[in-house]
Amino acid sequence: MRDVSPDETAYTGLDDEELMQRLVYRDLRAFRALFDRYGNLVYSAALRVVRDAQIAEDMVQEIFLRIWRKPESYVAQRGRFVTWLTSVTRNRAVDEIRSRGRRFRHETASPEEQERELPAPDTNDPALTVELADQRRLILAALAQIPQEQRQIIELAYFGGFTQQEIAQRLSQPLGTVKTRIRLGMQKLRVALTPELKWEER
Amino acid sequence: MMDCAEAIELLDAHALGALDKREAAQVERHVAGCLSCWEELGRSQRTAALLSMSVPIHKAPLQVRERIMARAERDGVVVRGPSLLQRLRPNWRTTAGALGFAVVSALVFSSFLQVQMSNLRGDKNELGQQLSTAASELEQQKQIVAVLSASDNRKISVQPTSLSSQAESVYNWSRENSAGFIVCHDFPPLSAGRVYQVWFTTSDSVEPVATFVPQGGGCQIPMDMSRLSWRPEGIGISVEPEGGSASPSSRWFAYAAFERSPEGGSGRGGGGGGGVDMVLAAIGP
Repeated sequence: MRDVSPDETAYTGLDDEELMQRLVYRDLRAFRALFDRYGNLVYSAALRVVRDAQIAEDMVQEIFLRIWRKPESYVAQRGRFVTWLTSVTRNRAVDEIRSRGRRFRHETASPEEQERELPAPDTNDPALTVELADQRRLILAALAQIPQEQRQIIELAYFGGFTQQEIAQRLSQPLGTVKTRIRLGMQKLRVALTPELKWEER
Repeated sequence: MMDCAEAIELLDAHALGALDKREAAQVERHVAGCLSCWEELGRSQRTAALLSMSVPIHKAPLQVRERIMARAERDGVVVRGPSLLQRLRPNWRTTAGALGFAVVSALVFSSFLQVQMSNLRGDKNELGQQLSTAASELEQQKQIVAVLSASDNRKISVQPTSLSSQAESVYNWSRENSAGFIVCHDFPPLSAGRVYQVWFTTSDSVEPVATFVPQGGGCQIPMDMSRLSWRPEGIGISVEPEGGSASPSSRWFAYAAFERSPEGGSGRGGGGGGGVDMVLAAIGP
């Protein structure tokens, strides 16, 4: 992302939990290292939900400053930092689109159309650390194993902030079908992600 | 009341945030009292959380980084009530020593004065009441400063049991002082007639410690531990009817287990005063 000074390279060797520990003592370089590790991922996760570059930027700022001001809100025993961070981002982003109302929920545009509204993503993951990029590939591979009609519903719920009823309406499917597809899709995803989830539960 | 079979059908949807408010509340209520569904929900939530890493990756604009870092640098000295106390503590133990303590005492006292001055602007008839409240607040602040400045001060994060909760609480204590306190942020408001209740626990007993209703989501609850005759193994917070309960009537809203100090594992602490003897190895400088 940018040149790092020699004293900052020391921080690249620290794991997330160690960096977070340092935030408690107001270590700005640890904070910078965390941002360099996850800034792009948080921005991308926010952008995926809100689909507006300016709002996504504001959210990145809000989320990172919250971490800086309240590092104790992350509790290591409850899971990995990156999963916590992206969940916080997703939840905050969904709150945002819900509070802004339906205008931001893209009732009409298909996911493909929405994708075109945004600048092209970095296809080779140069904006992620090697480790993150590897994990991301595993998760994408797991998602690819799930039938499209199940994946679509899961993504509408998680990234679109839609309820089961809203999804049923939007896709003109019976509510029962939507519920079943969520269950089946999540079961398959869980099986496909078993190695990753083991990591979460370590 | 929803049963397990009904709840299980909805756990994945709940983890994805796809339930309407009413259904979500029903699931939360069921899960609060059912360990197996609670664990199952945790698995669903962890699965859902990984979805966030599947998003197309975009580079955050460079100016975002600069803006965030500038803001962080600027508010490097911003203080926030009790957290300030927690943050200053390592300083006064190492370099700043007595100076750090004086800073904290001055801050506490000045906030006390501000409260009093604004109180005095109120109805004179309430003056007596206000002063007595002020006196007890000052007593509480003194106890908190005493705990923080004790050489054996320890703290532990009392974690919400629901992954989706934003609530935070930290328990600080000093065995020497037989005292501790809980500080909390972002606790959800309760319905009328309900309070949060703090408990000490062992594997086979619980001891009620205090009840509280958060103000603006926050709390600062001093706790006297001199009457405890046994060493607690954990600290829990549950939601109870007003006035508190004799034993917890719902699942823990938040909980933390203490780790025993090596020298405190046996033989000490059973005899009354200063009964708490625990060290959280992973926390503290």
